Amino acid sequence: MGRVTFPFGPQHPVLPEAIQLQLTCEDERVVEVLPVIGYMHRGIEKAGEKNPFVNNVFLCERICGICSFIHALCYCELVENVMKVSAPPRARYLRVFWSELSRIHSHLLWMGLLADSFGFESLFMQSWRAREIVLDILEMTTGQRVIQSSCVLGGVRRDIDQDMAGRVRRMLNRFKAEYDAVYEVFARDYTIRQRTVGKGVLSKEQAWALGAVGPTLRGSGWPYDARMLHYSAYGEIGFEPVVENACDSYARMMVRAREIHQSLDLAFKALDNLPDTELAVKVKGFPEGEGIIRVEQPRGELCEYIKGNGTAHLERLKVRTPTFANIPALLAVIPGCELADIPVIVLSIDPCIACTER
Amino acid sequence: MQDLTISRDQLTDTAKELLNRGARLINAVCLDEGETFQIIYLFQRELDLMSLRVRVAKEEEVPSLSSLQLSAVLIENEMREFFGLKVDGMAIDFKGRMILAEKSPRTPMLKQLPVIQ
Repeated sequence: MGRVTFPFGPQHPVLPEAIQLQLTCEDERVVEVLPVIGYMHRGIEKAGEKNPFVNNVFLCERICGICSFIHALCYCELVENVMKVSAPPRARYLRVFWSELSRIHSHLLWMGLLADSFGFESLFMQSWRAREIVLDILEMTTGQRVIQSSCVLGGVRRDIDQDMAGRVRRMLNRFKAEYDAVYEVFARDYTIRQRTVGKGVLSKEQAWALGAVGPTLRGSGWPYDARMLHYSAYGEIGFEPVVENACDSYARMMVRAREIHQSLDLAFKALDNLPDTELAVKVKGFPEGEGIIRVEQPRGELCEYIKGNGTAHLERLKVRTPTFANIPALLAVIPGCELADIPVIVLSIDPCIACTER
Repeated sequence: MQDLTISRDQLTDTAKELLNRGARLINAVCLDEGETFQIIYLFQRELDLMSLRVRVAKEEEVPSLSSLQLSAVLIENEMREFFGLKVDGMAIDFKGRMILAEKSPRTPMLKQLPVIQ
């Protein structure tokens, strides 16, 4: 049987960003895959050494447009750890609140794209309609829909007062009602099950050994989520990871779908228990020494390293994003799959290429 | 976090031992120290992190860990492209074109970039 090799991407209807997979097929079955990345490298790690360390908050936020807040949070908490500074309790709770809203809108964006990938356009529309409410809350509370810029070294720059908290609760309740209807379709619809159940199976052993993170790892039965490390206020608010055991694309989708409910709970808890403290403390001096932090982005664990030398500029800023960790798992599940299933399987790891290439 | 400094020759065996104990490689950080590179390999076991530090002269090779854990291949290719670190035995060699484009600066993360004629 003859083999044919052809490109999947870098421009493809299911890929919001540029990545290419070189697929080798025998008839309709894929037998080999090779990734080609490098279309979007921006030199952010190098820029992190050239910028004053304070400005890197805004640089890190721009690594990704979807989970920008969590990139900023990650960098701020890492620098605070190295400089032995603690953000005030109210700032840590607000960081949880905005992180969970970021997770909700990222997961819903992905769920809409998944529905779109198999032609379920009305579900795509409903998912993104619900997501708009969350973006409206982000705009109302931070002033920005995409790059929030509300996280700073030592705390946060914006507060949510009682009046605004009341409006946010009403909007979150409206979101919950809309999302509950969308969730039912994702969980039970016949078409979605046909397109995702048993597709792109990543065994529990493979998921760990290939370095998978986030919903890709938890969809294969691993109860690991960086929020278990209790950064920000997750230790006080309480957190249990969402896990599915089926190891396929449906399991990875359901982890995200259930995590939206969980994120909603966490956002309410953060809002209801906001401590009455200041928003930020002054961070004086320059970072000296090194540190590592892991935080949970919507796509999985984000791992950052910095080394400071006591000056305004860092010796090294290293960012390992979740999609970078999930690419080997994607390459492992593709061989043996039908060509028609490739879009869904590729989407099932929620690839973010801007993050990956930095 | 456990932090262990080892020699280049001990890297493969030490990594193998960690993987056999249920850990996995999650990241590696390369640091340009002038005459040498310091590479910090980060392993995760359950919630804990462990680091292995290896220091090599810039012209020396480090062994690839991709035969032990395939996902090391992306990490190692990136260190090679960004720093010019020589890695021996990578399972997939992107030949310096994994992230950087043809006209990108070579080894851009070095503290002193080589002069291009």
